[in-house]
Order: sequence, then structure tokens, then C-alpha cells
Amino acid sequence: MKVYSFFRGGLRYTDSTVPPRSSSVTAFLPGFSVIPLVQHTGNRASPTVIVGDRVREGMLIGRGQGLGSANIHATVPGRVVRTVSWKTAEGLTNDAMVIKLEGGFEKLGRYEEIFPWESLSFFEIQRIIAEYGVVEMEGSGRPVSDILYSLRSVKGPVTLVVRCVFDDPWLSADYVLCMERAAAVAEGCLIAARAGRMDRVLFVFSRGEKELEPLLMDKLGKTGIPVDTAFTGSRYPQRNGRELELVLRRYEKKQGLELGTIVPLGPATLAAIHDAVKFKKPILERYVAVGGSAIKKPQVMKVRIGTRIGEIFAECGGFVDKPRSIGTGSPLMGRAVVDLDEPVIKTSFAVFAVLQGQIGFRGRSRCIGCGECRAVCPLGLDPEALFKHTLNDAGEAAPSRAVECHGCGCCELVCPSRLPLRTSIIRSALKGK
Amino acid sequence: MDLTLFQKPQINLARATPDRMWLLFAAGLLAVLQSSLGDSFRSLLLAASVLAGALLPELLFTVKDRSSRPLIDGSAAASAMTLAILLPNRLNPVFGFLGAAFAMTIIKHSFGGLGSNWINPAAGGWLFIRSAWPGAFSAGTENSALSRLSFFIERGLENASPLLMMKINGWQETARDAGITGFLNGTVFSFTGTALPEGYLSFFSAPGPGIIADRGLFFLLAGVLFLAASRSFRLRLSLVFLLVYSLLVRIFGALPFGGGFWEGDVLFALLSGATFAAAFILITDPATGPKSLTGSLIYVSAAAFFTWLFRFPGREPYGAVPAVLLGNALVPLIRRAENSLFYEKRRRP
Repeated sequence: MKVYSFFRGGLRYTDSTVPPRSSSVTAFLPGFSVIPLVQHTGNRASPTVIVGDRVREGMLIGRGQGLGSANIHATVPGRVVRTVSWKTAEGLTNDAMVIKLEGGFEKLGRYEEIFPWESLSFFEIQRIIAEYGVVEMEGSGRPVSDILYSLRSVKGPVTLVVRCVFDDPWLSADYVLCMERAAAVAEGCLIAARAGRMDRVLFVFSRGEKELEPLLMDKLGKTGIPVDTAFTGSRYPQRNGRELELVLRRYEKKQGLELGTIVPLGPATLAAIHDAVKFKKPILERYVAVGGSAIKKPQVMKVRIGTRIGEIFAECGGFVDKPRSIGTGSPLMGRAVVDLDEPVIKTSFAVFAVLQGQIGFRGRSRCIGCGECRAVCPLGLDPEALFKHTLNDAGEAAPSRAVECHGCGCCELVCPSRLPLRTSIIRSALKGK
Repeated sequence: MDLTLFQKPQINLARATPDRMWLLFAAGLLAVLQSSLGDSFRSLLLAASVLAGALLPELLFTVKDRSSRPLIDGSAAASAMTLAILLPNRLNPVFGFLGAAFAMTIIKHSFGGLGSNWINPAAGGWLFIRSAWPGAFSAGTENSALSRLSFFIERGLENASPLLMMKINGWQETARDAGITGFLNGTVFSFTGTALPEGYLSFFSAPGPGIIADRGLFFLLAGVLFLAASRSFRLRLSLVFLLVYSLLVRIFGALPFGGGFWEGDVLFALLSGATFAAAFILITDPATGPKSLTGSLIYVSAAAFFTWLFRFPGREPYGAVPAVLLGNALVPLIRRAENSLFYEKRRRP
């Protein structure tokens, strides 16, 4: 088994406060669900219901508005009791429909009708995926239909990459999903390959999770297209698009394959595609890793979209002490949460609350030029120099390499002076300074 | 603009700068305390004076800059303690005070403060004292084993081993030296078929006059070990420095003492003349070093070469400190080369 890793920089991140990867717990249904109209990269979805309307489980409540926007569905049956609006930590405004749980479920606990997808055309599958609002279940939540649509103009072979790369321990929810829903992930990748008219499926596993390979391969069955596997290292940010492509190009050369255009999708996204196409079911719930040093009982939970973060923490036993920082996604690249009433959305693969001790030094001091940022930068940039340039603010042109920064955040993680290196560099590059 | 809310990593994996500074301060303080036990706390008085000399200008600059975190980053205290251990224990504390004030005012703050100085403030302060009051410095080390060694070499009284020469010239072994050496020879070294000559262990708690880093070597090393374990500095740079220096000493180190090639006394070279203070504290100062690993390796190798050059052919007992300063002077050149080679242009992934 040859393991492919990117050459330069990166870091090994371990965290003892992540939940165990043994199994998941189903969270209680929320009495009030807060369903945001922005759970994707693009514009806010346009609401199709108003306050007072009754909604069914899985009913469309917000219609996507153009590229980057996706449909939004009610995750519980009930009544829309109000709309809310709040500012996120980044200063953006989000709106949500608050649904009071009432009435009976149409999908939860019922026999799930299977809709055969094998005879559907790629266009029909794409339409179903778009209709059920499937987005990438991590990062900024790019709609899968947009990804598939963009492949229409691609010439040459296209490879679906199943991204089972766990370079961050906070991806434990994805790991549990692979263990518990291996068949859905495997079939989801075949559906996605059909929808994107892809030529090959490549499963990529990180070295530490190679036990997932037989599990997923056994569930694949007859595929009709070539399926391969590759192994990568687990140094952060191996899962990142650039680093993943870097090692896959080496794999391609070594194996004598032609991968062509690479379309990486995570297991949670593939399971969502499976549910949408095979069960005509939108994303109603997702696996979420709940943990951090402030949480009494960290665990992986199956949570309904729209469940408030505070409720999830309560189900995990609450806080051991007053948390210093709360956020969604991994503490590495996740975003801060300013209110415990903010809900879990399609991209929230983890929710964490950490104490001061885990955060480390919070204040900021002057750069001592230790060079640790340079040592971990996978691009070989000099974050210190780029950061100082942004501080200088003399109106000079930014060093050309600032635009190369893809924001993995390694530099900020190891900066002993806690300087906002990544943030400043990206903002400076965006401003073209 | 305050970027705190936008700052993505919610955690930080590195030991914070103030923590590193205070740990460095503690390591130096340990050496001062060990040295103080044998000189009626003169070392402690000197260190306190140096600390006052560093903190006073730091405080003034803090007030001037209206900083809300006065002195809390520990950099002034760390520099002061580093300077203190490089000074002779019998030096008049007033000179220590002035040297520290010079280090903070001229070397640190006139170049922009923490992280902007181009030479190590402690080493710069040491050079200032050494140059401004050479008599006081020499008086402070008068009759120390190392200064007498230089004196006898200059007089042409050469023999095979520097340790032997020091013994002849009054180097006092500690009471426990023979016992511990015998124990080590009977246990650890018996497996390798080698034997440690008596006298080397006395370097760890050197009696008599000398610089504090040499007099408090045992505690200094204990502190440095803790610093290394807490990943507060780049240990591999120190190890490369010691390796290159040891190699040069082994090959050429016996020549000034009338010996031949490959007969140099590495243990003597390492355990005396503030070698460990230079290797673990001065050379690893990030602000005054190159950016890349390649550049850093060139820098520490050059500093090791200069240390050997000053200490052996140059017969300067504390040659490690000016060697590091000379290495600092090369850094802008190395950084320019690094920028054009590694950072300004895109490299192959």
C-alpha cells in the first residue's frame, strides 16, 4: 500500500476532546426548529411559506435563487411561528423560519419507498439533486447540482473522488457515517458518477482509516465504471482541494491512469445524494460531532437540521465550565457562533465548545519571527512577511504570492503570538493590496 | 480593524510568546541561583541589577507607546536574565545595569522593539560592557580557570590537555567529582570500554570566579531541557551548532595546546566558555536568525565555526558570544538569499 502525501508543510493535529468514533446517538427532535434560508454559498433562498403556514416534514420552504443557492426544506412537521434574523460572527445577516413541531411525520419511522435510479438519465438525476437541495456537506456548502452542471463544459475524462481523508480529528462524524451508512455512501457515489457522467470513481482513504476501504468496497457491488482506491497521509490539510489534487496527480502518474478533471465529494454529501435520489428525501438530518473541552459528554449525534446548538450541548450533559469559544465545524477552520440559538445547518459537521485552556493564549503579542508559520505553510509562502506587508498599509502592491494562499490556517495555528496571519493575508489579497 | 471575530482557528497549538519568554527567564534564573549559592549571592545581586536595568527602559517605552500590556510579554526579563548569565559573577552590578539599559534602549527599541532587533539584545549588551569597561570585565574573571588557561598558553606553558593545564594551574575539582566519575566509569562507561577522566563533572558546578552560565551550568542545562521539552525553541539548531563546533574542536582543538589533529578535548570545549548558553539561548533567538531551515543551518554552522575560531586559535575564553554576534551580522545576507530562492518566486509543489 503506497501512501501519497504532500511534500511541504502541514501539521499533525490531534485532539483528545473530540467525540469517540465508535457510534452515533440520535438527538431529540427539537420543539422549535430554526431553518436558515442561507445554508449554501449563494443567495438567500426565497421563502415559499409565511408565518402561520403549516408545513410537512421535507416540504419545500425556501427556493434557491440562482447559482450557488439551494432549496431549503422543513425538517420537521409543524407550523411556521415566526421568522428570525441575526448577524453571524462574520457580520453577515441570516434569516430563518422557526417551525414549531406539530403533527405527524411522513418520513421519520415510516417505511421508505425506494425510487430506482438506474434507469434515470443524468439530467433527471441532476434535477432531483437540485430539487432536494443537496449541497456539499462541509465548507461553504456549494450546491452539488452546480458542481455537476459545471462538468457539462469539461472536455476529457472526469473522476469522482470519494474523499475519505481524515486529516482533522473533528471529522469523526463523517467517519461514523461511513461506518453506519456504508451502503448509502457507496451507492451515492455511483449515483453521483452517473449524474456527472463521470468516467471513474476513486476512493481516497487516509492512512489511519484504511479499515473503511473493505467496508465501502463490499457495498459497491456492480459498478459499470472503473473503481480504484488510493491512500494518503493524514497530515493536515491533506483533505484540502489543492493538497488532495497534488497527491492524486502523483498517484495518476504512478498508476498510469488518466484521472482528468477531479470532482471530490465527501461521504456525507454522497449519502445525501443517495437519500435524495433513492428516497426522494431532502437533507433532514446530519451526523454532527459534538465535543470540546467544555462539553461534559462528547459524542457523535444524528441531529435534525435546524436544531439549536444550545439544545445539542444540553443533550451532551452541558458544560463543565463556562466555555471561552463556541463554534461550528472544526476548531481549525470552523466559524465562531455568537448565539446558542444558532441552528445546525447542512454544513455543520461538528459543533464545539472549548475552555480557555484548550484555546491557548488568547491575547496577541508582537511577531518574534520564530518562523513556525513558514515551516508549516504547505505552499512555501512566507506568512510573516505577507502579514507585515498588510500591516504596513503603505499602498504598495501586495507581494504576488499573497493570492496563492488558500487559507488552510496552519500558520495561525502555530503562531505563538496569535497573529491573524491567514485572515490578514486573504483579506489583503482580496483587496488587491 | 479588529480581526478577532474573523480569525478562523479557534484554538492555537503553539506555546505563546510570553510563556516562552518567561520560561527562558526561569532557565536563566536557575543558573543564577546555582551560581549564587557559591558566591554569597553576588550573582543574584548582579542579576537583579541587570533586570532593573532592562525593565526600567522597557517601562519607559511602554508608557511612551501607551501599551496596555506593560512588561507582560516577558521579553525584557528574558533578555535581562540571558545577559546576566553571560556576565562574570564578580562584575560590579552597576555595569550590569548599564549594559542591560543599553541592550533595551539601543539594541531592542531603537530598531522597533520585540522581534525587530537585528542582533540579540543580551549579546549586544554583553559586547557593550565588554567594550566599554574591558578592565571591569577582566577583573570580574580574574583568576578564573579559563582566564588563567589563556594566560598560561600565551606564556608558552603548553601541555597536552586543557583540563590538565587547568588542574596544574589551580582548577579545583568539586568534592563529589571523583566519586560520581568513579560510579559512572564502573557502570555506564564500562559497557563502552571507555573511562571519563576526573575533573569534567566539576564543570557542572564550577567553583571560583567565572561567568554565571559556567558557574551554574547544571541548573542552566536543567532549565534548557525543560525549554526543549516544551518546544520553546528549535532544538535541532542547537544540536547542529554543538555538532559542528564539537567536530571542529575534535579535529583542530588540540593544536593550540601542543597536540595533534583529532586530539581536541570536546568535553572541555562544550562545558566551558558559555557554550551551552550560546547554543541553546543565543543561537535559537528567532528574531535574529534566518527564515528557512537551510538558512538557519548555514547560520548556526557559521556561528559554530566562529566560536571555534575565537576560542581556540583566537584564545578568547568566551568566544561563543562574539561568534553569535558575528553570525547575526550575516543574517541579512542570508535572508536576502532566502527570499529570492525560496519565498519570492513560486516553487515546485
